[in-house]
Amino acid sequence: MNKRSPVAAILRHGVLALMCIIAVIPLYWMVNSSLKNESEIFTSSFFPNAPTFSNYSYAFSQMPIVRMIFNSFGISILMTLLQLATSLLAAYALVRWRFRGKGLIFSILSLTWLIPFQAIMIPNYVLVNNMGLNDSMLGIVLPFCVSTFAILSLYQSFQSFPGVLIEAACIDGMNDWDILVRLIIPNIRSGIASLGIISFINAWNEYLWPMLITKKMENSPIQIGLKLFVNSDTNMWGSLMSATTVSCLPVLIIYLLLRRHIVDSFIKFGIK
Amino acid sequence: MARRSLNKTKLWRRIKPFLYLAPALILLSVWMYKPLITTFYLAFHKWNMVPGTDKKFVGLDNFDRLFHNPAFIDSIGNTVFYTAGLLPFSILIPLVLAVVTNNMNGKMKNFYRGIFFIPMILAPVSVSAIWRWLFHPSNGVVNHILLKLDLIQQPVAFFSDANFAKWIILLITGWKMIGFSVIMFSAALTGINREYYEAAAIDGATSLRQFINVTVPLMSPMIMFMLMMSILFSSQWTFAYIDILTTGGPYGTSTNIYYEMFRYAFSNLNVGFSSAAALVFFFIFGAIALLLNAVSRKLSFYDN
Amino acid sequence: MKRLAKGAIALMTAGSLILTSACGANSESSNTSGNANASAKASQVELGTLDPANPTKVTFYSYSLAYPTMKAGMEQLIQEFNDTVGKEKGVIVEGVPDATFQQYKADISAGKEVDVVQHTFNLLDSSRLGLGFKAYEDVFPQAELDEHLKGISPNALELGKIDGKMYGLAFTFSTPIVFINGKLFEEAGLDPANPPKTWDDIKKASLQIKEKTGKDGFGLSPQNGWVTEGLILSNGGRVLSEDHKQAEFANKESVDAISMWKDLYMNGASAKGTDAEVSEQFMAGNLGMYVSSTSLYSGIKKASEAGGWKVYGGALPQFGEKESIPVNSGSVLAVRPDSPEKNAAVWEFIKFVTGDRGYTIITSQIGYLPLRTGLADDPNGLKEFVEQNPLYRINLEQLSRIQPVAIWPGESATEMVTAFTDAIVKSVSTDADVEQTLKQAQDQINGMMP
Repeated sequence: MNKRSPVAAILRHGVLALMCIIAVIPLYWMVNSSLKNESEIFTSSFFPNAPTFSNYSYAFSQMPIVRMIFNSFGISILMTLLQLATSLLAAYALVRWRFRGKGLIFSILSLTWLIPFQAIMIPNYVLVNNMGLNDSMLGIVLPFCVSTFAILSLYQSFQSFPGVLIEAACIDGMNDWDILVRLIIPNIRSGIASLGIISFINAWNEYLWPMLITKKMENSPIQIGLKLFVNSDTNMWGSLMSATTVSCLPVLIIYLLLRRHIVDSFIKFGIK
Repeated sequence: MARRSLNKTKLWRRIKPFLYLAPALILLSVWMYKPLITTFYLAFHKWNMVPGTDKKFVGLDNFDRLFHNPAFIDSIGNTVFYTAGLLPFSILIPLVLAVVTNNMNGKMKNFYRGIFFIPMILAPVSVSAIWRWLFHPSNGVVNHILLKLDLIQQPVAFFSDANFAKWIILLITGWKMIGFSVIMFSAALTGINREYYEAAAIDGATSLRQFINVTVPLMSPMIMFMLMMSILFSSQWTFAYIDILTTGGPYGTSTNIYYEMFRYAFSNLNVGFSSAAALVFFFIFGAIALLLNAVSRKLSFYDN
Repeated sequence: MKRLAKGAIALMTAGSLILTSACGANSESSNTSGNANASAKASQVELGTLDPANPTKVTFYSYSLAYPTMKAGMEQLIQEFNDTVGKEKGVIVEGVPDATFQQYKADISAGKEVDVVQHTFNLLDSSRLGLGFKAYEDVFPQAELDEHLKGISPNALELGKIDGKMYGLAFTFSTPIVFINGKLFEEAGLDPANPPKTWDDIKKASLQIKEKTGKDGFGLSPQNGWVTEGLILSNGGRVLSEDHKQAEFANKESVDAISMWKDLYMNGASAKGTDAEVSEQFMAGNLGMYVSSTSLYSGIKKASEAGGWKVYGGALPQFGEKESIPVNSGSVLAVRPDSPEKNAAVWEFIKFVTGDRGYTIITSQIGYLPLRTGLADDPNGLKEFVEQNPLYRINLEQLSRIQPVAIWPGESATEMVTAFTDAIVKSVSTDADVEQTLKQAQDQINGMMP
C-alpha cells in the first residue's frame, strides 16, 4: 500500500469528523432544546442554562407515550418476525430446487418493487376494514408481512451456503424442514440478524399506513402521536422536542448497545 | 405399485417448492397484486371511493386530464429532481466514506460507520420535527446562526420559500440515507480481495486511480443495486417529509408524484385520477428497472 | 354589555339582509322554497326510539379533537354529553380525531359508519355530492329543528345551506382579528389599545416596529386560506360569483387587495413562513401583529403570560374608508345517519353540542364564538367570560359585517381550493404578476366547475 502522509490522515479524519457532526447535531439540538425552559427555548445557546425536565412531564401528560412506544415495538417486532418467516421459507425453496415457474416467481417478486404503496393503499384500506382490523396492530402489520427485499437478499446469502453440505445432509436422511432449520439458519445467523435489523428499522419508520389505520392514540405507534403534536397550533417546542427525544430514545439506546453487532452483521452479511 | 409411488414422489417434489413459497406468494397476491389489478381497473373509471356508488367507465379520460394537469406535470419535474438529487447521498458520498473508512483500524472504522448510521434508525416524524425546529424562520437555530454570520439579512422561511423547500426535503432525505448506503458499500468492500489493491499499488496507481480502476468496477454490482433502490424508492422516502413539512407547497413546488397520488385519492377523492397516475408511473419505473437490470447484467460480466 | 346587545341586534339585521340577498341571487332554490320543500319531506321524517339500556353508538369525527389547544374542550363536550343526555336517552358518542380531514373520507370509503363530522365550510358541497351527507331537513323533524335553531344567529345558519337546505349546522365559528403584542407595540412607541385601522396604518406600524425593535411587525401567511377571502371582500372584490357558478377572484378589486398584501410582504412589512410558523413566531413574542382566528386565543394568552407580555386585539383592517368584511372560519356539523334510531341519536348529540351548554364549553374552553349570541349576556352562560376576555367583543362586533366563506361548488372543490391558495401564495410571495397569476388560477378553476 502507498505510504500515508500525516496531513492526508488529518484531512481524512477531519472530513469524517465533520460528517459525524452533521449526522448527530440535529439530535444534539433536539436534546438540548428539550431541556431548556420556556424563557430559554427561543435562544440559540448550545447548552441549557438551567436544565429542566418540565417539558418531559408536560409531554407525558399530553399523550400516552409509553403505551405508544410499546405499540411501536409490538408492530415492528411482529412485522420483522413475519417477514423473516415468510422470506426464509421462500428463499429456501428458490435455492433448494429447480422447478418450473421459478423465473416467473422471480419476476413476480421483483415487480413488487415497482408498485408504489400509494397505488394499492385504497383497496388495502377497504380490505382491512372489511376484515374488521381497523385500528388494530394486526391491521398495520398484515400488508407488510412479506418483503421482497428480504426474500432476494436471503436468496443470495443462501446461495453462498455450500451445496455439498445440503446434499450430504440429504443423504443422511434429513428432511427439508430440518435442513432449513437445523443446518442453514444456524449457519447464516448474522445474515438473518442484519436482515431482521433492516426489517425492524423499516417497520419502525413506516408512516403512511399506520397513519391511515390507527384512530385512537392508545392504539397508535409513537410516530402518529408525535405527528399530531408536530401539527398542533401550539408553540411548545420544548415539549415537542422532549416528545421527539422520547420517541427516538428506545431505538437509539438499543442501537448504541448493539452497535458493534449491528454494523458487524451487516458487513459479514455482505450482500453481493 | 413401484411406479405409482414414483409418480407420487415426483408429484410431491413438484409441489414442495410451492409449499415453501406459498405463504409469501399468497400474501403478495392478496396485499399487492390484487389491489394492483383493482388499481388498473379503477384507472379507467371515475369513482369517489364511497361504497355503493357507481364506478363510471370513462375510458382514457383520466389519462387525458392527467397530462393536461399542470400540477401533475410539475410533480413529475420534482420527482426527477428528487430522484437525481438523491444519488449523491445514496451513492457518491457513501461510496467515498466507505472506502476511506475501510483502510482504518477496526475500532475507528466501526466508530465512524456506527455514527453515520444513526440518522437511519430515526423515524421520519421524529426527523421532521427536529428539522422543522432547526430551520424555523423566526425561532430556528439555522437562521440565528446565518444572521449572526451576516450571511443573510432577513431570516429565510425555508419551508414556504419555493427556492428552498424542495432542497430542504432533499437534504433531509439524503441525510437519513447516507448511513445506510455506507454500511451497504462497506459490506461489499470487505468482499474485495486485498491483492487487487496491492497489485495496483505496485503499478504505482494513486489512491484516486485505485478508487476508479479497482474499487468502482469491483463494487459495480452493489453500486447497481443501490442505484436501483435509490431510483425506485426516492419518491417513497421523500413522502413523509413532504407530508409533514410542506404538504407539497409552496404552490406545489415541493410535491412529488406519490404525494400527488395520495392527494388525488384521499383529499380529492378522485380515485380514477390517482390510479391513472399510479399506472403511468408503474410503467415508467418498470422501464427504468429493466434498463438498469440490463446494464447490471453487462457489468457483472465485466466483473468476471 | 350595551355594545354586545347592539352587536347582536346588528347581527340579526345583517343576517336577514344576507338571507334576502341570497334569495335575490338564487330565487329558484332560495331559502323560502327550500323550507317548503323540506317541510313537505319533513312530514315523512320520524325519529326512532332510543333505549337507554341498549345505547346507540354515534361516531363523531373532529379535527378539534386532534389539536392539543382544542382537544381538552372538545373531549369535555363529548364526555358531558355521554354522562348526561346520552346516559339518560341511550346514546354513546365516540370521538375520532381527524387532524387532516382525511380520516372521515377514508372511513366512509371503507364502509364504516361515519355519523357526524366536524366539517369545514368550503368543502361542504363536495361532501354533499360525493360522500352521502344528508340535509338536516331530510333526517330530523322540521318542528324540532325549528325549535332548536331559535336563538342561533340566522346568518350563521345560512352558512351551511346549499340550495336552500341545511347540510351543515354552524358549530365552531370565528372571525379573523388582529392579535397584538402589547410589549412590542409600546417599545415601538405605538399604543396597543388603539390598534391600526386600515392596511396603510398596518404597514406604517409594522415598519415602525421593525425599525425600533428589530422584530417583524406584522404577519399573515399567504397560505392561511380563509383570511385571504376577507381581504378580497373588504376591497369590494369577490371570490365566487353570486350564483356560485364561476370563480371571480381575478377582478380588479381582488387584484388590488392582493397587490397591497404583496407590497407588505415584499417590502419588509410582513413576517415570512407558513401559517403555523408565523403563529409560532407571534407566540414566541417575536411578532408585533398577527391576523388569525380567535380560536387561537387560549394558546396565545398562555404564551403571552409565559413570555411576560400582554395580548391586545383589533378588528380586521380595512381598505381606506371601506369597512372591512370579515369571513368566518371554523366548522359545521355535517351528518349522515342511516336509520331512524341513528337519526334520533345524532339529533340528541347535535342538540346538546349546539345548545346553551355546548356553546358555553366551546367558547370558554376552546375559544370559538358563541353562535347563540344571547349567551354573551347570560350570567349563567358566558357573561363573565366575555368580560374577562374583551377580545371577544371585537369578534362579536365583526359578526355584523360578516360574509360567508366561499363554498366551492361541485366535486372538485378540494382541487379548486388548492388552485386558489397556490395562486395567492405565488402572487404574494414571489415576483409573479398578481393579475396574471390570479387570472390563470381563475380559468383553471372555472374549467373544473360542474
